[in-house]
Amino acid sequence: MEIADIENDVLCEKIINDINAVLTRDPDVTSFEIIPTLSYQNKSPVIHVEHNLGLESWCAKHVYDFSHKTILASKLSGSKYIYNDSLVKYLNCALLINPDVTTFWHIRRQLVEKNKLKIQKEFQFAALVLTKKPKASEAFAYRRWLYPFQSAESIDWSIEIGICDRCADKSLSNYHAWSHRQWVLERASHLLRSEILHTEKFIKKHISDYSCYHYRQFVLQTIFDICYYDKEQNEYNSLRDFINFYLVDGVSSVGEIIQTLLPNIDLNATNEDKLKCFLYCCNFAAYDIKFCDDLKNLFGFRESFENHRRASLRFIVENCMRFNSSVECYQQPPVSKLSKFDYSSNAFLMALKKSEGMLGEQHRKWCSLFLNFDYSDNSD
Amino acid sequence: MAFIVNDVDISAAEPKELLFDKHVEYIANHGNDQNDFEYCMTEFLRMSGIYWGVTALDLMQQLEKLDRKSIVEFIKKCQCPTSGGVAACEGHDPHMLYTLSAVQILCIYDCLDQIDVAGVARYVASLQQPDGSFFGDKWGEVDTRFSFCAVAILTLINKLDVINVPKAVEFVMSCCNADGGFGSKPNAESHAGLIYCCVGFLSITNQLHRLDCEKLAWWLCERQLPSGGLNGRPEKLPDVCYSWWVLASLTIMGRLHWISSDKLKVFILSCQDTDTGGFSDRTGNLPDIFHTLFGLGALSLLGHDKLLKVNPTFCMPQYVLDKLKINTQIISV
Amino acid sequence: MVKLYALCVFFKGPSEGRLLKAAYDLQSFSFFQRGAVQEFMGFASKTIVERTQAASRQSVKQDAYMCHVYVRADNLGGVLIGDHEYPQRVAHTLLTKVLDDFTAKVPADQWSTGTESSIAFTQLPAYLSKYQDPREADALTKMQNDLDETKIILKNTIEAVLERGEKLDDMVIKSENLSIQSKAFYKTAKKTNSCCSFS
Repeated sequence: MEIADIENDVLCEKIINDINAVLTRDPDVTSFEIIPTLSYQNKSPVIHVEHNLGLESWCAKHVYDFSHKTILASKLSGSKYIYNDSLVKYLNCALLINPDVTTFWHIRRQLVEKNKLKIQKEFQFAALVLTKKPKASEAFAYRRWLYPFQSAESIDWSIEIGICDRCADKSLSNYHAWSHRQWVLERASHLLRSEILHTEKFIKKHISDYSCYHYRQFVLQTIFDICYYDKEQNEYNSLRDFINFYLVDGVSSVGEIIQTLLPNIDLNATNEDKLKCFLYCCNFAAYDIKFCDDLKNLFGFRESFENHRRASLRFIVENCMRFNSSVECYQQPPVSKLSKFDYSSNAFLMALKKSEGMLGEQHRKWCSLFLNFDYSDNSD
Repeated sequence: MAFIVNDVDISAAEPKELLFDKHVEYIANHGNDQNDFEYCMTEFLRMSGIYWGVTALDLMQQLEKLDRKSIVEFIKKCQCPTSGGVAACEGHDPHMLYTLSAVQILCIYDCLDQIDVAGVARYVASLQQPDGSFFGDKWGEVDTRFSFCAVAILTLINKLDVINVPKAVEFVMSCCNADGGFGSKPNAESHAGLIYCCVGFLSITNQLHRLDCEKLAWWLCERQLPSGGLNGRPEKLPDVCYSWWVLASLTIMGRLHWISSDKLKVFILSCQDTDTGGFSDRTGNLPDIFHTLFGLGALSLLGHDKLLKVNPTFCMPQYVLDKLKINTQIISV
Repeated sequence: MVKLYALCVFFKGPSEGRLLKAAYDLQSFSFFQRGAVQEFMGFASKTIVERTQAASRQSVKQDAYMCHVYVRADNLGGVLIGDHEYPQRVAHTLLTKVLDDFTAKVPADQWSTGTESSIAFTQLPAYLSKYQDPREADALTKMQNDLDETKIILKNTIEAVLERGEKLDDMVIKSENLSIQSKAFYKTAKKTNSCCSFS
């Protein structure tokens, strides 16, 4: 396509105005994308259907070039561009087409600081950019930056989780989406419970997205760290089944579970909240071990299933060791410091060690390295 | 039941030798067509683009193919006179990432005095936070990448004393996970690129003893797939740039021999573009300058005889660091 | 992803595959792509059915997708397109079940002349939706046990299914069932560029 420069500029200006007209007219635009088109067609390249906005690919380069040129010229001229909100329409187009340009996001930040842009609109814009590029780290960073400008009561963290969920759904192992979600959870611990359910659902659909498994491990660790547990929960069936898999003499009551995991514990000297949280978290980890086994049966052997099973196993073993060696469980010493722990005094850990040691050479090596199991003395 | 992995197939028709001249041509001509959409879209990382090209050509001893004078002039224009930081391109804002790229290029060209070095040091120091972490620029994103950039820049300009190194080490160590790896922030998922940054950081600050090498090397070795290629995280596809991040980390840890070099070499060579030159992320895709440097860098770590020796910490030719008398810590096993 | 996108029933006639019924679930694709994706899935389904022998099964991988095909001895064929992570055994068992159900509801004399609008069989969308979760297949256990997975022919690309001298690119260009818009999508999708960068 050959268009003379002036004609090109006029056309670009028109397309940019069309895009911005849609953004202004329809506050509920839910997606933006570039639509592959082979050549210039004699109609507007801006398409708006059912709150979806599309731009035909043939003009993306021209629109981007023109927006980019206009923004930088204005910035370099030093003409107090920062106070000129007519620049916004070019910023919108440039960032929708190329969301990675940090400098353009910074201009928006300066406009926000000067009260030239509405916070709510900015949240919407960043969300729209993420529909085009779910891995746009700058758009996530911008959202994080915007948060302090909101009043605490107007914040709804579940919206932020929803955005992370959609972005993760669209692109496998989306590091930026999962780190952002972690940032949200660090500020919204009331969502911990629902995140347990969300992540299980997500894993069932995205079995090889290890970022979600890692995030679920983070959820578990956070629950443990803040000493959370479900006050209604009096049964620990997953944990019970997990123990009974390793032990010939099975357990059934909660008392027996505690006795098996923590044989040396003095219940009178133990903080009840800590103990309940320990049981709640170990039950969660045991549930996940079973979950991974089920996934393996249905989908075959995968790295994610193996890694997550090991992480869950490590959680249980490490925390049993910590509790048993009366190490203050909130200090989180690395396992290496626990290496002197004599697990021969703990029949359950002995049985677990033996059973896990039979799952192949590689897994046995993993157990010695990560759980400090010593297989040299009684290799069986 | 069979182990299911996401991987690539390498057909017998893929290249098996280094297409040396093609790559020289690819890099030398990169950016000649300034109307190219791709070129315009990547302007925001131009400074790094130049670093990738300059380093790649220097490793091939073809540095004269690029115009030194115009590159140095370009860098001078990108330094912000107020903050001292360097931007990716004129008109853009300064950032830690591009400040490192600029300093690396100037070291290769042996002309650090062409920019305000004291300004660079001031910029880096201004971005350190009370917890020891670093912002990427004044707007406040924290990432272990920026910790690496900070100490790499300051070591190259011999001004490491302007920051609080012990605090910086403390922050990086707080990003270490139970699997031995590192993420971008505390508790973030382990990621080979970020592991490289953290291992490189500890190598520069002489703190490698703080690594749990056995666990970390276990994790890194699991990155190798049946095709020979390395991925950056569990279940991801292999990618040439991870050949660099993983291999450089293992080299610093003295455990390069823990993975199969021969198979990796086959994978890297299969990512060359036989028409245009250059390396792509994986077999069959289009090449770019980023993967071209990391493909060549990885081959250099594997001892390719047509390439100069690369320094695993800085991803720069070793002779450049020797000239600057910079020693980076490496574990010998 | 564990996901099913398309489920079609064909009659494999002597000259071409005749589409009798189809259902799609394309919500996970971006809005403006859905039309083209649907056309391509229809195109791929027909192409593969026509190149699958009667009384045989194939699973053909194409990028992240997997086309599972079962053509019975009586030339009734089913195609299920899903993500490559969807379990193959469940996919093929589902095809068996769908074709059994179709046979029970649609008399065989309608197959060679039927069209999507003339055939009264409305169950496909329900199957597609229910089996998004392969755990639903537990109900099919007996059928699953009867399935001999070793007899499924595996192909790595659609190209591998084509006959000598056929080229996918040419077929796409020539196809009358694909719109200009879909052909544009095909052309752009072929240019894979890496998107990873350190920044």
